[in-house]
Amino acid sequence: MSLREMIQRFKRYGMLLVIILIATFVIGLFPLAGRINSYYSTGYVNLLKNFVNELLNQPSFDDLVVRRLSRQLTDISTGVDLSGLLRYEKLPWVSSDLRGIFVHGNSVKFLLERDSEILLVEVPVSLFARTISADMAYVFLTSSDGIVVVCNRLDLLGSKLTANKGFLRINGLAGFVYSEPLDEFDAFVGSFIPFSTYLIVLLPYIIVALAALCGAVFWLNFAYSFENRLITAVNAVLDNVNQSLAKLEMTDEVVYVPMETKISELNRLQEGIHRLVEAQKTSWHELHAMMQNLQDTVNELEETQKVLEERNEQIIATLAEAIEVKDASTFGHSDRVVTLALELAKEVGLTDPADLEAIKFGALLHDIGKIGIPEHILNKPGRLTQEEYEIMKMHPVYGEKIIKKISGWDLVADIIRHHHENYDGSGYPDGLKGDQITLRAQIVSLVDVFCALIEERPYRRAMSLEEALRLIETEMVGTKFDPRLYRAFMKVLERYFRAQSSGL
Amino acid sequence: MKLAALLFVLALALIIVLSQVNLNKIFVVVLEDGEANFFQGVETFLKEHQLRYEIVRVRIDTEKPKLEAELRKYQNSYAVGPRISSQAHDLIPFLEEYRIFAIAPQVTSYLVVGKSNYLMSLSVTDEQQGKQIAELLKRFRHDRVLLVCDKFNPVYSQSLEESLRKSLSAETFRSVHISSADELVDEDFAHYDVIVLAVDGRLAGMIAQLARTRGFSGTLVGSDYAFDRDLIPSGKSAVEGMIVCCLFNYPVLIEKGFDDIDVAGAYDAMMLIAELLQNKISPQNAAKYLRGRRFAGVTGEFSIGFDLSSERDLTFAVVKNGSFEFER
Repeated sequence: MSLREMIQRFKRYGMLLVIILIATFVIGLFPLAGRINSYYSTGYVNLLKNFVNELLNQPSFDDLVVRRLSRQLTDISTGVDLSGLLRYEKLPWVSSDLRGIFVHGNSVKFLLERDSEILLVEVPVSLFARTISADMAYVFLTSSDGIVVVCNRLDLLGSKLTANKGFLRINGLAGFVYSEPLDEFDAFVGSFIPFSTYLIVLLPYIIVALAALCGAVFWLNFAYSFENRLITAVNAVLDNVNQSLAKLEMTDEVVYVPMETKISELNRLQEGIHRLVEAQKTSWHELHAMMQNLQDTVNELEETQKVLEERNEQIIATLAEAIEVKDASTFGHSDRVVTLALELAKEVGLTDPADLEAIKFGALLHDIGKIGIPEHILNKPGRLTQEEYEIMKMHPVYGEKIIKKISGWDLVADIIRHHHENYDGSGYPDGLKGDQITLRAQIVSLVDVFCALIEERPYRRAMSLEEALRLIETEMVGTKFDPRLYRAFMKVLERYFRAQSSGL
Repeated sequence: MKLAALLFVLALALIIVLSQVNLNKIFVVVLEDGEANFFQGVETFLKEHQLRYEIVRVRIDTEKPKLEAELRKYQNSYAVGPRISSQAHDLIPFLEEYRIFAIAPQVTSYLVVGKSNYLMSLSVTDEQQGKQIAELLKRFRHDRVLLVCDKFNPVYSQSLEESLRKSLSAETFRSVHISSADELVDEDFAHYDVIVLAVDGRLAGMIAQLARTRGFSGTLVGSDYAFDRDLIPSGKSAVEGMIVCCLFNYPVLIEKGFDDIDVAGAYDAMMLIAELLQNKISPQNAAKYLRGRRFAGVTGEFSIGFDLSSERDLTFAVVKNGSFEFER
């Protein structure tokens, strides 16, 4: 898994954590809010109920006024008709009129049935505000038409409630209202819990929840910023490494400078890379030195080989000279054969260096077998007897025997053995004919004969070029030599002598 | 994701702050004591004119620290109320401290009106009312006068009594300050030609009943204080023929669809406040702006005097057949 994928996963988990926290916080609010409703509604409503019961059953408060009224609502003590100010539908009754009759200011008026009379209990509303301690909520009594006639807070008095339960906005305050019927009376007691109360009660919960959320967000933020730093640092380090490696492929003059990051592990990694690069440079230097040494060795070997080759050629040339020294009539013969044989080889299209080398040394050493021929036969001025001639015919075999011992000179040995074979099979030592004779051997054979004819021998004078060619053409082409080869040879000669005549 | 979480935290913080702070809302404070229905008048005006000001009720019949704490929340605002002069007297220090400009529809005592740039009245002062009641009594040649005053509104009682005494040279002029009709059970009502009732309508009606049952046959006169919706239901037949001073132009008020003098007064008070708000007049400059201006409201035409009382014609109503009838 790449770093980026790991971070993506981390982000998903982070988001999940925040969502879970928010969901837990929101879900947790509902039961708490329910408990607050239940606590204040039940507690405060019961408080007011008990207080009202106490007022009506045992009126012992100084502030309240109790008057005996007739059924027609006339005050028995003064005779004042209060029917214009009071009304009731059934008894007991709570008046919705707040203005006091016998009490200064606002009052709540309870009409109770007492024998044949009606008892008016008039209670100043300030008594409730003083007596009922309910700071966190409003507790109230509403008349049958929903008017608040009693409340522990005066600012709610006279307000008309439109619902018995639910969220309401009263006198600029929003909150939850709950009310229930007051026993026997056609009235309701209830409570109003402002949102500020919820806030105060839930404040510790909200603080803890917010702290948890803020903590999670803080740590996520911290992790994300670390992630950004990590990615930036890793990318910078990778770029640095890649640039250094690219330079390292081209030159050893590379110095890897570690970048200072805020992540110690990356710094250590770079130190490792620095050491690796330095080690690589050292290895490169060593390899370079080794290659230089190897090249020097190769050069020395090439020099040695050259010297050896020159020596070989000198040895071979010396060997050829030794033959010519033994056969006095053939002095300079080998050199000429070599020159013309190589030209003819090129003319017939032989380009393989092995063929050309074989022709070169074959032409030079073709008569090496004459070493094995007795000198009196070799230098005999007259015509050879049949017996002598048979001995003389053994020189290709001797020559092959000598050369064969040199490894890699099989082609040379072949030329030496077959340079006296004829095109029609009348030659020696094997009597090969046509294509059985290698082209190399045919070339050397033709050139050898031609050179022999134009050279002086003890038993005849040297032929002119024309005489030699006429002889070859009349007596040897088609029998001794391949006519095609002869035609090529003619071209070589033309070119050769034209060059010689032009002084080249 | 990170953004969403931050937004959530910010939103929660904002909810908490908003629940505690009132964001530049325009508040109209209704200074109530539960006796006058100012709120209805203010609400009616705002509805009719489709204005969206926040109306807040503040009970002034509470302990001073609580009242001060409430008023502190609504600094630099306008208020309708209070109902009576004594309440206004107690409120003036708070109004000035918290720069709340209050328009009290029926506060009439010269001991209060004109004493502060943060309190004005839609009514004439007691001095003028006292003169006119005195002239009325002189016209009827009443020499034995009983003045019944409200013990809980001493400021008003004092100014009205002073005005009456200054303008009236009656043979017998007695004043009583009561808090309940019970206190007059032993009073010899028959001794007087006229009873001037400077109490609220409810108490005035009960005293009228008491007086009539105790042999009083003279003239009942009510000050503006007695002119309210409870006078006739409370007094029933005992207040028939009673002459009551009305600070507002009652026929106009009825014509405009109002039957409650407090509601109508609050309506006109809100009319003035709306004009001040629409002209972006601060509570500090409201008095300067209003002085000398003339208005036509549901309570009749009036102009604002230098002392921030209103100059208008006083009228007297007579209770006939269970309703008010007007004669000059």
